[in-house]
Amino acid sequence: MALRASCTPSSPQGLEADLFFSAESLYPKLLEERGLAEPGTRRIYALGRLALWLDRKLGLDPKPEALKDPRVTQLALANPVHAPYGRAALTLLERYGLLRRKDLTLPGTDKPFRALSWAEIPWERLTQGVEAYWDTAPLARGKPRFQFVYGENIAHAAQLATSATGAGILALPLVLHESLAQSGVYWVAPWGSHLALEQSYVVLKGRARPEVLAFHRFVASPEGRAILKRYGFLLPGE
Amino acid sequence: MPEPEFFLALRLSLLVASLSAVLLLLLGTPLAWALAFRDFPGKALLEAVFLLPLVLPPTVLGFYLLLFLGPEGPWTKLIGVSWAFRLEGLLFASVLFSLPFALTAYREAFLSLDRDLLEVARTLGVPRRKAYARVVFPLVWPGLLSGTLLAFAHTLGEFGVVLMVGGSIPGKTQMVSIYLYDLVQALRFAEAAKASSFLLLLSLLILVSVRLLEGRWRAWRSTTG
Repeated sequence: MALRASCTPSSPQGLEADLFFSAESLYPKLLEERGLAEPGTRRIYALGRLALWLDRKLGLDPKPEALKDPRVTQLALANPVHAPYGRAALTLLERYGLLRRKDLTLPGTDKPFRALSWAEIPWERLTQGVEAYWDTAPLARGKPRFQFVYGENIAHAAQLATSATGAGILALPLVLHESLAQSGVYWVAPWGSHLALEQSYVVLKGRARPEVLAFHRFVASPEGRAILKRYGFLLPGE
Repeated sequence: MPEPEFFLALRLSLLVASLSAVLLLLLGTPLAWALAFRDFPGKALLEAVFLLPLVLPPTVLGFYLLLFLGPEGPWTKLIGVSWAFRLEGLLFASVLFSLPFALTAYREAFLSLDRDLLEVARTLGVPRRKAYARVVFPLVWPGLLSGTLLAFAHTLGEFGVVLMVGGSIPGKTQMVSIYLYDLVQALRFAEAAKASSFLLLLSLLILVSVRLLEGRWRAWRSTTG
């Protein structure tokens, strides 16, 4: 099994992996297009949910408006340049009016940034930090300072949030984990309020052994779905 | 040419590497002198503590450092401001991370020193301060320089620690190693290749110029010697 963080579509053959699980659908699609996946094995296994997590010590009510409070000076995200959950977090902040797009045209696009849909944003090119592309005034107003802090993946973002920033936009399964649930309060973003995280998986080319296919089926079985549900994922078809 | 963000990250890396190398030279020299020539209770333990960053995985060091420098950390309580995700934090982490390299090189330089020379100079009536400048320094400087350069290079290539305490903020705490990692993660392989080859050439250039400088200095020394 391989996770997106450690395996990219350029090099799955070199990796001793049978299946590829991603936090979105782009990379499994890419694998399929490049003939690196077994045809017809790409499935959505879960729909990723976002949650705003706030350290209990801040004493804030967990809701998006709480981020305007002067006590929130740093916000941890997964790096939106490459992490699906980081990208979704920015679209969530946009939806709640906490980030406003600047009047500019992003590299590699011909439409103004403000006219782009979430799926059209060239995320991998946004290497200058959120402040270069979005007006952060709604978050930064009235505070001595405000900054985004980026984790290399969503678990790293959770670690940054618990040990230093006190606030983060994280994946629901992480927020439900005991170490975060004990130390903080959270708000679950409604489905549809951010970039869809259709978490998909595929069987890698030449790896369709019976036991691999059995696991592929297990993930989508009632038993597999119950496990995913327990960890806070929404399930396809629900 | 790589995109402008690369040069921003490179500038930060060079800044952190040079500043931490200077700090290590200032702090590490007296420390290495003490470890080389003084005996005091707990010396073995102290030496082991200074060498810890060599053995610990950088991410472990980074994890502890973030707690240490974070809003609830002892360092923050002491100085009143959190150094997490700031240049100060990166410097603090880099100095600690490269300390064993600098310290070991400095100590070796001091240990290879024939201390009788210092005594001889003193018996010949050379004032103490002058004896250090005229006798000790010319003998130990190559060791001090190589230790400092090693620390500089080590900081330039550091990844795990700055990943943990930096927060990857472009232009502020995103060092060049993290920038490259992010490019690869975003599947921008062409840009990553451009940036990597530029970095490779630059590193080679730095190493070659250091070797040339060293050779020139040795030649100059042997003629004036």
